[in-house]
Amino acid sequence: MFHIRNAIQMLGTRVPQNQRLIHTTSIYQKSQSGRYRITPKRDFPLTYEMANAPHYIMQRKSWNSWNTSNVLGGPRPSETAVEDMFIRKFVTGTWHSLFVSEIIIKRQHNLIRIAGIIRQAISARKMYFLIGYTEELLSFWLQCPVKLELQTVADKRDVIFKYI
Amino acid sequence: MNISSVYLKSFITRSCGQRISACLFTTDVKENIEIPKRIHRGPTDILRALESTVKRDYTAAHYKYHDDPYLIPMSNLGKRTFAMAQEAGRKAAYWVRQENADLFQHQEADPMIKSFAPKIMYNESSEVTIQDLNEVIEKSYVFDAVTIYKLLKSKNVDVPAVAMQQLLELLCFYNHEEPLLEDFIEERWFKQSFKGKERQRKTWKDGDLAEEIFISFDNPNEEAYSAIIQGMAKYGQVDRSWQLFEEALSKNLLLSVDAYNSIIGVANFLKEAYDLRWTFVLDMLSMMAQAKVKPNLRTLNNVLKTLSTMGTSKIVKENALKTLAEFRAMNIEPSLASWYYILITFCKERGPVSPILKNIMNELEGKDLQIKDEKDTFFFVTAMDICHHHLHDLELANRVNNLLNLHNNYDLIGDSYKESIYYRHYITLLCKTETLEEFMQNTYLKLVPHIYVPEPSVMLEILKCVEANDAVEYIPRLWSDVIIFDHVNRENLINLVLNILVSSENAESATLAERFSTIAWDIWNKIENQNENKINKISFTGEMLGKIMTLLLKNDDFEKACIVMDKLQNDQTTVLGVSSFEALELFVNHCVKEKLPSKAISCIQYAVDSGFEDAANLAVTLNTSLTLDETHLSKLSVIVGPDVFK
Amino acid sequence: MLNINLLRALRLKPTKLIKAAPLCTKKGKTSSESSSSSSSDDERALNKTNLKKRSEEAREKLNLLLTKMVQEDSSKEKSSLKFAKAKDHRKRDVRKEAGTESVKSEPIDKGVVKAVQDVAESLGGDVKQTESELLQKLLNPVKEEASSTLSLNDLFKGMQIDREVKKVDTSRAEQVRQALQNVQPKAAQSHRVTKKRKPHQLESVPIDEQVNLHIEQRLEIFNPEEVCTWPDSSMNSTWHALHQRELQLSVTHPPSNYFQQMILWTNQGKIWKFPIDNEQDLDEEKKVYFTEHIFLDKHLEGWCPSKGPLRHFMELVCVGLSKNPYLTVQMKKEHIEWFRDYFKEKKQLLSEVGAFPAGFDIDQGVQKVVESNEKSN
Repeated sequence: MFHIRNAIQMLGTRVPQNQRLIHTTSIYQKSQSGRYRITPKRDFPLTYEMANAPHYIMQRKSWNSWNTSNVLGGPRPSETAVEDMFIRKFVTGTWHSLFVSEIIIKRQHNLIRIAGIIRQAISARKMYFLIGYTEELLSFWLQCPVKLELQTVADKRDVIFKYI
Repeated sequence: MNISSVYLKSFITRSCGQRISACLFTTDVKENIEIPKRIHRGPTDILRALESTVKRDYTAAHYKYHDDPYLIPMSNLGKRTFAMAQEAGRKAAYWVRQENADLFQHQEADPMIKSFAPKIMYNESSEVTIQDLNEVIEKSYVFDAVTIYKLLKSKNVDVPAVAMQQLLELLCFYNHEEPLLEDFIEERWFKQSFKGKERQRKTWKDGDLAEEIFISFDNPNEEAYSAIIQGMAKYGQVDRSWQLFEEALSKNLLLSVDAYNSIIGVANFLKEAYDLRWTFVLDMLSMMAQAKVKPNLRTLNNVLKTLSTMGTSKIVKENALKTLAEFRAMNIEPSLASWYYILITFCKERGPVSPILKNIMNELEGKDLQIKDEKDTFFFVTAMDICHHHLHDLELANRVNNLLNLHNNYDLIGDSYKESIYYRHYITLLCKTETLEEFMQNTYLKLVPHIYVPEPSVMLEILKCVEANDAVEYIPRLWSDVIIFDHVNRENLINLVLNILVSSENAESATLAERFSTIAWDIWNKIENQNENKINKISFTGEMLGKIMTLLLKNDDFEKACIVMDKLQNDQTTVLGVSSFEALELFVNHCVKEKLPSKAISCIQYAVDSGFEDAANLAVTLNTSLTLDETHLSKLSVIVGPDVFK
Repeated sequence: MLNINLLRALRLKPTKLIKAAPLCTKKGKTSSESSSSSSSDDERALNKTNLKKRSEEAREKLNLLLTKMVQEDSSKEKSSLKFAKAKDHRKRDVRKEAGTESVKSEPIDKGVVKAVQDVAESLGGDVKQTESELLQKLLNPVKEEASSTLSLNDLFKGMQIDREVKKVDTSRAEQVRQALQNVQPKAAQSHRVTKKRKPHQLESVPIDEQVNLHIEQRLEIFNPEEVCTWPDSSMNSTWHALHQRELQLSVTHPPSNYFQQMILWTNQGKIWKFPIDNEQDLDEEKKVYFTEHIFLDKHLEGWCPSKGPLRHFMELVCVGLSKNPYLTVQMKKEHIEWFRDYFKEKKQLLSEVGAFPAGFDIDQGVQKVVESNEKSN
């Protein structure tokens, strides 16, 4: 409260050198999403993806969804966002506790490619079954070809970047 | 214009003038700029152009497998299981969609992509029209077509004759069986083709709907006759198809060329004796000529097929060539299937060796082959078989292989079964004829394991070759392949590997000895730690153990050798046979080196038990090279008798 | 009876000979009367004379040869270990063996021929035929399927290269001996080869004839010029379609790279076609020319006043609709018609506020438009 009043006062003085705006006050600008809090024991594992805050997108890390819906005049932006959410839910549910990375969704033409890193917790044969099932069912639902591009790691600790 | 050029020439230097006159001259000539016509490109042309730049990567697994070490199959079984598991997953998705068809009615894509929409289900209560019938026939859903047809009949709807004819053809073609959906490529790839066997058995469903429809035509026309004759001939109902054929002829109907083809194709069922069979075929052909039915490629292939069932005599071969000439005169060029039949006519297993494949290759070389007959896919595997077993011709085999890898010819390999037989012949032939070094570098390391996984028999052949050349440097790689391909349970392979290792003369270097010892210990572990419940376990033989021990000792792995020795001594009931004396001798020598007389004594005990006469000598060496205490001496004297040491 | 003669006389595999040898002696001891009843009288007589002629010496020689062969048999393992020491050796070996064999197998002993002739004559009937059959059988012991129609001349082709000139009228014993001598080198040779290759092909005579695939001779059934004028069959179109489909499927294999997969998907109609066309598969819309979408004023004619606020409003509606890419022409038309009907209902109010110009009757206009539409439909 104090800050805001202060800020308003500052605005009132109209001194350009000391100008402070509401949206740059520390409380207002505090952004929390996509960041992780340090735990007391410093034993919370983070993947590379998690370790980098959102403002590092395009600098140290990349997007999780690749499409042209969000460019100016791009078609069906909302549908794409909802579909991507659906895909993520479906894939994490089908591959129960197997994905150890974010699910990356790349769209080209009407083709959807889903990439990610999985644990080697089930046999390769079962994985192939799930690949076939996921690809086919998602393509029935989204009515476009879907392709899975997976990499496996032997241990989920392999993808840990740091502990906080 | 001319005047001016002359005028200029007089003034300007020669070369310059020439140029200018040339310039002036060119303005006179009418240049026709031809704008090329637009070439119409299909939707896949760009993709095909791009695809042609991609070559097979021999170091990577097939594209259908995920490019990840954990997900790459290493054995034949793995290849099959992984691909089929994926297909099973897809089938599960199909099932889910079909079970919940009402949930999949949304329209995400605009325009709708038909193959993603659930299939329409028809049952007894469906409302159906002729339109539906036409649609399912077009999509070749046999069961649906039958259901709809029956529904229409029960509602007394008049099915037009055209639709009836189409339905009849569909039923005849598939013999009332639902064909595999075209989406299931893997299943088709791995489904084993039963060579000809299926043909010989009668599978035609007598008295089923197809015949009902045929009977329901009053006065069936030639199209109906042709369809049912073809269907019956295709599924082994030979006698009735012949009967119908004669019936149609007696009615003066002009049957289709395919009906004639079918009858020619089953001539070997209709006529037993070779000469009768050939006369029959000739009769058929002259009937075609009389009826002015234009023969086609399938006529040629079916004639050749019949010829290929007629033994090895020279006349058959002559007739085959004459047939080729006859059809060539009519501008019908033979397809791969024709060459396949020619091959099996000329190169019988028991007949004389015929080099005809060379001539055929001369014809085919460099061609971009297309499928024209369902038997086309048999050519490459047969040709390679003949290169291997019939001619032993390496050069020819390479020519066949080059043809296969040209353009898109690889599509004609058939299925996974034929592919693996093809490579089995090719690799075995290469292994037998090329030098081992060439073979390993150019073929083995390139094709194995991603293109082809050698079967145990082929592996044995390669190992034999290694043995003959004493090329032990390849053994580590081959052994790791044996493990990966899951051939460790083949006793003959293991024995051969051990043999090679033990008898090798190049094994003196320390690194090789070390690797050999690792392999030997590996073999030991593999056999020792077999699953109890395994059905065909392999058991140790004394010889095997002796060899393992020798290899271990050559690398001074005394402790491991002791474990093997213990096995030899303690499990004499389960271990068949005895170890070689040389191995025991080596062991005793090492005991001396390590100064462990008790081990040596137990070894000597074993040697005596196994009935080696030289066991006493071992005792003597032991006694001379080590100073033994009383207990040891007494033990020794009990074993070999007291008089040895005197 | 026939068998005995032939076995004695001819080159056979050593194993067969060993089996045959006791048979011979047995038959020799027991008289021919006990032999099979199927044989004719002529044959018996012949056999008796044969028996007499056969000398003791010949029998001994035969036994000697057989034992030799057995010894050789046992020694074959040793030789197999030696084989293929180095690459070149093996290659040369194969070639050499093939070469020598083809020479060795060609000459056929005249003695053999004589024996066969005798047997054939004794059988009576078609002598030449029997003779050729027997010879064929002998020359290719394994070739069981060989057709019987092969002419005698064909068989004798292979016999012309005979190095030694021999008298035809040698004794039976001599014949046997010669036959066996011919067998021996071949048998030994085949041993060496068998160990590495399939045995059967080596026993058959390799024919190195070049096959001409373009022979002039034809079956002479069809007349090519005539056939070209015949029409192509157009029957069973469904069958043809299905056949083509099956053929295509049989060469459709799992795609081996990304582009192949795209091609497959394109062919299955699952992926957008290249080059990307945003009107792909919009077949319904293709039938409508673009002016239909843009110039919608014509739908106002007849019922809308030519000026005034209503006209102004409806023109704005048309402009808006013309820019809308999401509606079909039919939907746009319906949109306008909705306004038409709405204004028709509100005509009382509209005329009161003066939105219609003087003397304008919307009912009449609408009536006319509807009627003309019905007519055109």
